[in-house]
Amino acid sequence: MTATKSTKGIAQRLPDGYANLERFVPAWALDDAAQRANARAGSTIDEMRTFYSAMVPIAADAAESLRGTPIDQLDDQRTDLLKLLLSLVEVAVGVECFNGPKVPYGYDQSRLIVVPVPHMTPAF
Amino acid sequence: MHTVTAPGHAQFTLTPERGEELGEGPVAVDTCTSQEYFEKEREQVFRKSWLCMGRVEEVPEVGDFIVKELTLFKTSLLISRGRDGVVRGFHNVCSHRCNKLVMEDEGTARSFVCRFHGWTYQTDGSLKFVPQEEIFPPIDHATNGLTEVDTDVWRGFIFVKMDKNSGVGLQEFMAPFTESLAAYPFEEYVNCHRYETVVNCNWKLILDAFLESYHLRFLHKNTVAEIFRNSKEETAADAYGFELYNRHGRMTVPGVAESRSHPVEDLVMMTAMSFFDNKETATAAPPGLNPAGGENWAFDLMYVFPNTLWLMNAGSTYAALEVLPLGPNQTLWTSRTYSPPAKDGLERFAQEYNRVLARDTLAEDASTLEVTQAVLESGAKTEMILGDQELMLRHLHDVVDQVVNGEEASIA
Repeated sequence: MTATKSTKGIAQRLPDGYANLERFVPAWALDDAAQRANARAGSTIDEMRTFYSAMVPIAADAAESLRGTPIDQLDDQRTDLLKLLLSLVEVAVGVECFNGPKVPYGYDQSRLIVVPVPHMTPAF
Repeated sequence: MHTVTAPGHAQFTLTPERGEELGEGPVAVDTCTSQEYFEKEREQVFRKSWLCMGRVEEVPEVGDFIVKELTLFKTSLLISRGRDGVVRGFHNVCSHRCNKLVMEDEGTARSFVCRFHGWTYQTDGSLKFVPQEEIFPPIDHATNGLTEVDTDVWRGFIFVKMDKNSGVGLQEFMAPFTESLAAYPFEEYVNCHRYETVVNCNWKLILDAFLESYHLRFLHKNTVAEIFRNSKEETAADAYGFELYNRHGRMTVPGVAESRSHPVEDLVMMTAMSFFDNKETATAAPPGLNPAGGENWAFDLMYVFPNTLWLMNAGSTYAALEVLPLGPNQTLWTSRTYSPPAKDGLERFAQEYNRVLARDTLAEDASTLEVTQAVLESGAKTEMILGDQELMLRHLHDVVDQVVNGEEASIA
């Protein structure tokens, strides 16, 4: 993955303007639905809220910035921004509906197996 | 039934005769714990019914195949697209020494070669090549191909029927849905997320959970209840427009997608509404849905006998649930959400919400069903009490019982 250097010398993973979200990239810019589910399941509500609170104010603009470009033509930085937004959805349902990573009295997440469908599974 | 449809309201049932016929008595629940009843279901219901295996888009090109392990029938099923473009289903067994032919779950093949002795089959199932054929007595290639299973396609859904000698063809079987769903764009919804899980409960309990909306405001109070405005108004999510056929059924559930101070949910809803070339508004149904014409439409639920549900809501998405029993108290449950390919990251973001909310709602249902099964096994209760909102459950249990007791499974 190509990464440009920011002024601080740290590889910039997101487009310009999202510097305060860079710290979430390693944990939340994930490749698929199973990884996102595992990340939420393995987080505390505090970790979820930290990510959620940082993302919510910019989410609308970030999502809008992806309008019009096919996903397979996004550059690496905008791809990582999309991945963060997909993780935001995963985390938001936990924060907004349950105030926690798990569904109260819910089914054990690890028993819900993601089974990719040939030729039909979307990217990420 | 007690329901009287008030003037100006959508009709409660579009097939009132069937509603009357079902009566209002309690429904037996030993059918959900009995090994003997389960074995009759396997032979009378499942072996003789058209069962949905997936979509033709899973095998788009000649030679593409998928393998389904059908534990219920102790068989492995090979579904492949032949050189003639036809999708066929076969028992995944070599004709020579009966070894399992294809070991992969999916793939593309020019032909299928048995790894035991190299017997080779065309993608249409015919026997193509036998190594050292001269050491065998004459082998009729025409009759020694793979053992075919009745397979047909309705609107891109691949169905198989294990018992060749029973029931009607797929097109006749699906006829109750053919005309009304003619304009529904199944063929555009070629992206799919799939979950599988083995739930420790009877297969009918899973269907029961989706065949009524009465439970929304209680069990799903954290997830989808408020979307259906259900915590504020008792009857807001009451289903109407029940249509009960000889086997299948359908109903409509209303709701209002009002904000509930969930910022990300609101953002996704606004994005989705602004984005899809909106053929319909949030409360106007896509073509063929909401046949009773009620207000505040939220979704239609299709029950395809015996084991499939389609939950079709506004916006470009629908969910499909399939259940296959493994025993009286264990079921393989497959849940899929279908959508069109996202044309950009914004649309992908909006689609994601549906998948996550559907999965977490499923988690609320699945745990409840296991608890229900566990206490059902005590035998403390022999029947369940059903209200008018649970008419579809009454229909399901009645139809299964008819078929278990000798009626034909696959009729329209």
